Amino acid sequence: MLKQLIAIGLWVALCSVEVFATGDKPNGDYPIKDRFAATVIGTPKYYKADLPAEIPVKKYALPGLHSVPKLFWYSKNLHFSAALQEGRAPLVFNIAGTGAGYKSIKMQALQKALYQAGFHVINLSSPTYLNFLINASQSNLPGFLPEDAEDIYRVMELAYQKVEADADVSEFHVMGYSLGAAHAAFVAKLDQTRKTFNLQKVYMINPPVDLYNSVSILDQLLVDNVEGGIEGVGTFLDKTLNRLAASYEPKEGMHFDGDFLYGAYSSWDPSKRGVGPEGRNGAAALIGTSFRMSSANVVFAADLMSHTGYIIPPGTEFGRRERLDYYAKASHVVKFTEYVDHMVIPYLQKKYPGKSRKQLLGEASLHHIEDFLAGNAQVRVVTNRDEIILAPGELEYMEGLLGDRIKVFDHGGHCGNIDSKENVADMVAFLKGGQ
Amino acid sequence: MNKLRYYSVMCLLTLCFGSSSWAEEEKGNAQINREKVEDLMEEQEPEAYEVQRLIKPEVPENALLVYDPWEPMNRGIYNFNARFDRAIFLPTVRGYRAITPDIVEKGIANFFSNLAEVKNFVNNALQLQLKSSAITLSRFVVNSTLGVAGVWDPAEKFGMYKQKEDFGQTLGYWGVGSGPYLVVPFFGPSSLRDATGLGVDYLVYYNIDELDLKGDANKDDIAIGLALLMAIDTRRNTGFRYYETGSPFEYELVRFAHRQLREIQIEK
Repeated sequence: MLKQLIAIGLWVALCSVEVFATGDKPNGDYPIKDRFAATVIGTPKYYKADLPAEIPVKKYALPGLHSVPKLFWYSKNLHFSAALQEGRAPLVFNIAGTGAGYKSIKMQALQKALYQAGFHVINLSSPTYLNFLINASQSNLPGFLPEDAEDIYRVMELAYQKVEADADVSEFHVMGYSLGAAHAAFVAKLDQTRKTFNLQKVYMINPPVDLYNSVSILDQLLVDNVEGGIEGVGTFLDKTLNRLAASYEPKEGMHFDGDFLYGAYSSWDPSKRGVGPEGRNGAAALIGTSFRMSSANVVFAADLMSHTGYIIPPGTEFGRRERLDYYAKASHVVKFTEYVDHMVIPYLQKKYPGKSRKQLLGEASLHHIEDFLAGNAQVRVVTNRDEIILAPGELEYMEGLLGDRIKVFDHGGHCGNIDSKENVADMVAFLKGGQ
Repeated sequence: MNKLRYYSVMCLLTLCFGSSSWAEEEKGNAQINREKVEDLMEEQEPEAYEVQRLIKPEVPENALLVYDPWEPMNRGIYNFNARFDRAIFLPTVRGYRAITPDIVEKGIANFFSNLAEVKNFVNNALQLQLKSSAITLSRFVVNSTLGVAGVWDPAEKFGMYKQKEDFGQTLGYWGVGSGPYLVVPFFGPSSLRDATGLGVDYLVYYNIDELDLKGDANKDDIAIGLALLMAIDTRRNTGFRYYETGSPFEYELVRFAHRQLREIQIEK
């Protein structure tokens, strides 16, 4: 629903895009030149990798670590999915990005691409996804990469035990996109000491370098692009949807998906495209809104599960039919950086006395494991020149660190080109290489 | 009217189920921020001139707020629907998909969609949408004949697209406000106006009796069988899955998205 909500909201992107992909003759390069629009619209059909419509995927459940409050009755047990080959094959653990579950659209596309290329694929939700946060996060306060990695590693072990009888595995790889890419790197580092899997390859799609920098950038998108900040989101969505209503022609079989948006985007009169409402970038506003929604989910669930008492007074018990308006509103006011500063850091400082905030934030960044990344020939990063979640200098930092083990595409924003022909080919070639 | 009676009984059962038997364990003690919650609730309290509110589309100051005075009951039904979906509905749909070839599924979907053209036609006509009414009528004629009782949809190939309208939309078109948000057992998100529309559309369907069941000795069995198949077919065509948004505020999100969607449909 969140996705649909966002999808219908995306319309505003169409009239706020400054750079336009001209002509309708696709030449193979990813066509959307505006980084925010690319992030929102994704890959238009023609440029998408050819993926099977359906693959055999099974859903599994693992017992949760904590007792689940009544309010979350629908989210007992941790869920993950696996697509398994008949014969012997390498197994890829695939980790979702911020707020995304194992079944999200991007995760499904990656699972299909890998399965098609002959891998066993286990899809795992992000530790910031409600179901994982409730059931598999030891602290219930996700966002600190070293601890997230411990949680994910435990889930990987249990998940593998579940499928072991049905999967003949030759070797193990790990990958992820966005926050999941950073998780993949930390998991691989952890595996060097734990050695359960002896992970061979690490593939990272659009990773953050310093997590705190990235969430600051995303927090700021809402502040800069939605009039009135979070208070204005209701009006912003309403306006966006009305704009959509004005141009929407109902046709059977037409959906509010990326292709629909791209179709409209391509046919949009360039003279009207200039600037969005109030001169703000609508696509950027949507990314900011959607990020804030993911972050509100984390704030509320983390607070309820960990009894931190940040917005929910300790001892509060919610019934299944509890009214949540107030808590919803309060959770959406909190920025992700505030969640880190007010909930995660205090918890960590209690746990590791003497560590400063700066030290802890430093540990949640790729800088902290740069020796591992630089010295390991089996680590590869793919990202875009117009990536939105990197602070100035961070792309150059990764290029310096990884040399020819980083592939930088010109366009795609943040994960907009994740299922394009080029990206899927890069992923499969790397994971298959040297076999 | 056996089927209707059966359905009403199920609804009543669900309402009782939703509002009484779970009541005890579902009562939370979220006391401390009550005041603030109550402030918010007040914004949504029915106004003195309730009728005014029902006939005039309300414009809430906070666009995210939807008028939902029956929230506890609605949440109960929402949860009931989610459980029913998981335990019975989706497994049934999976079974149906496993035993039925895709082409047959498509045919069944088309068949029911063709039956619904009468409803579409009536409501297009009631909204004085002449072009849409004509398209709908042509679709019905073409698909019922060339498309063999609606199993195929050749009309779409001729560029005649479905013009979906229901009585809730008709009421909305003539200015009737949506009224309180209402989650209908088995159906999902709706509103007082749209649920009423659902009933009216059903009565029209029942009385027109497209399939000429009235004379049939087994009419009740056939009607129930068809209703079940239609329910399965509808669920098959609906992508929504309860509690998979990953948001603890799914109820609020769905409520907001649903209202926006209905408003867009009515404007068209």
